[in-house]
Amino acid sequence: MKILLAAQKDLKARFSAALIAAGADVTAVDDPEILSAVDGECGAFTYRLGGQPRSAERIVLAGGVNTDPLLSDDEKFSARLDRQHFDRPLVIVAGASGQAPACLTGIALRRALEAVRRRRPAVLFAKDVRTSDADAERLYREARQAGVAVIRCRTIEISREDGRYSVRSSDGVTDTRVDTDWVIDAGAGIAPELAAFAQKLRLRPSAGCDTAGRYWLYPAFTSRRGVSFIDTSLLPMGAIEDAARALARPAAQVKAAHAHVDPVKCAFCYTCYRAFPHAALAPDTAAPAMLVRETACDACGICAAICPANAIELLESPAAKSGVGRGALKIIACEHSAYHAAMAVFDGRPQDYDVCIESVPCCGSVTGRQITSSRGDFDAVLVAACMEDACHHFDGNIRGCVHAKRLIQDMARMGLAQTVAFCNASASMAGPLRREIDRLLDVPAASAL
Amino acid sequence: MIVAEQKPIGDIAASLGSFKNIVIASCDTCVTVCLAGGEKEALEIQGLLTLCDRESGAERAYTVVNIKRQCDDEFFEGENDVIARADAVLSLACGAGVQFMAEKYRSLPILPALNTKFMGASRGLGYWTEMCQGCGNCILERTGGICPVSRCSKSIFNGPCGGSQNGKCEVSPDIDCGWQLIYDRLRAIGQLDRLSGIIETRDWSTSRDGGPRSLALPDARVGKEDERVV
Repeated sequence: MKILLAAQKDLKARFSAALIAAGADVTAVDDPEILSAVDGECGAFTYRLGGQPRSAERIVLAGGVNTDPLLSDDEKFSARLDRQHFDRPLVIVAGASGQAPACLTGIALRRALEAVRRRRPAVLFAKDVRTSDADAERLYREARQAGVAVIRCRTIEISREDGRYSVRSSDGVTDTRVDTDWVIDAGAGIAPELAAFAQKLRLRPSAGCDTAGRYWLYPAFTSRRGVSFIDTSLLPMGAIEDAARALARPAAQVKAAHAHVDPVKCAFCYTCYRAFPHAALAPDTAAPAMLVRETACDACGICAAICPANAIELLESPAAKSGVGRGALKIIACEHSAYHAAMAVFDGRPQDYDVCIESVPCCGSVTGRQITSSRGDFDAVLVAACMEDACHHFDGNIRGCVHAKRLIQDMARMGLAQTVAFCNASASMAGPLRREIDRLLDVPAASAL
Repeated sequence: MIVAEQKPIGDIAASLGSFKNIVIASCDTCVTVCLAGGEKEALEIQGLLTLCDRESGAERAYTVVNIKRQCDDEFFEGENDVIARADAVLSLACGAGVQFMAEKYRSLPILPALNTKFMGASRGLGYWTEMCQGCGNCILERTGGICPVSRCSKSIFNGPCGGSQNGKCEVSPDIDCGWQLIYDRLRAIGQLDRLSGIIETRDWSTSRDGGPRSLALPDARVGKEDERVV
């Protein structure tokens, strides 16, 4: 894997060494001025370094994100917590300024949980609780059960007077106000020294996601595929090496499942190449057909779903299923988030409700055929993707959403009852998922399953 | 490449009428590449129609066949038996493929599942634009490689017209003025002098105006002069 590493000065040597140790062929840069003409796409970037043409398969941007230091420093946080009055809540605001990516939501939840366990009340204001994996879902439930108050809101205002904070929020229906003397803003902004690199790489900031719960890897930092952002300001010790190994992706760490292209069926249309989120497909002009680079394949299934010639399939794809084979409702759910959310709604026993929950690597891999054949066996079908910005495969959940909605429209036009639905789901924001399940099972909304 | 889009599924379902045994035929070249008529779409349509029939109580059987090119005789060979047993074929080919099948299977209704749109180029994932109208008399060498017939809303040969404003066509702000593109391109490649003369009125009989067209290449048709393909 040829990697262009654009890093802050103090990180260049360590990160470069970690990537090389992980088997990558690294070109490291810490001066944005010498980097120019970055072009191409995931798997085939070209750029100039001091005027010399170079190429890379992946670009890694490494640097620190600005956020409240108390979020990342255990000792400081603990000391501050000791000073906190038992009557005054710790207020954590996610997403008031800048973005609150999933990793920061996770940190915020851990901090709130720590406060509650030490008998200090904690309130988390969030526009969305973005969770992206099972660990985060569990953490959220644990925090709620321990007594962390989570307030979902659309607008948040923080004012300060005489050393006291007043946090006002509104979700459009209810206004909430909390007075305290300690507020942590869990927003994040890119460090100024990285802005120059971001500009060179033509990136636009967006919310990121936490791909493994251990380090802060933002594949969705930009809409530009193949450019990953590592936030080193929140990295625990040793995590740089973890992140480097994930990026260099040696064969040993590749998932057992991977995509396979049938070269006879392949129309060589480049649709998968243009749509795929990981640097896993490459054109073989001699065949001519697409080739899957197995070591780079993340087995998300998006290329298989979008292939118009049906030439791509996932080999050894492990689809977990819970529940019945035929029945009232089938939920096709993203394995990272919505699967756990749906299982939580049914207390882990969907079969008691005549429901089947099937996990898929990404909702972007769900085909129309899969939905219609599921609807053949079940009275209703629900496609449940992870929350926006939490997708492990860039825009897979958005792709799944657009596709499912088009199919739902088609079915409505054909006079079929509205028995197929789509929703973004997370156990931490189970409301919309529960409502959708209630509707599809024809259960009055007020009743709890 | 020929670009097409799928008809609304309601229209497709309505066109099936009382046919019971239906073959859904994908076409695995142009319309596959433009995500309208490949195997994936054929399977998706099959799924939707099956579901619709189940709800309405209709009893129909659908079989999906994949034809590499529905505008070439030889590609049907492996599927002749399946198609011959059908009451009707739902073709996911362009208009040429649908008509070719209708000529080939004379007693069989061939129903179109796509609306054929234009000859165009891929501008990225899921986006195509019209580039050629097949007028039969190419003048791209005089217009910097940009076609006034297909890229100008009026197909005028000495533009731009008065409807060109800030590089956009009066027909829609989303349409670039073809003649502005031609001017910019010729200037960029240093060939503005090609615009100094008037492009003369042309003979449109080489285009659709001359009626349905055909092309026979004598070299290739040696010994086949009298043979009718279908």
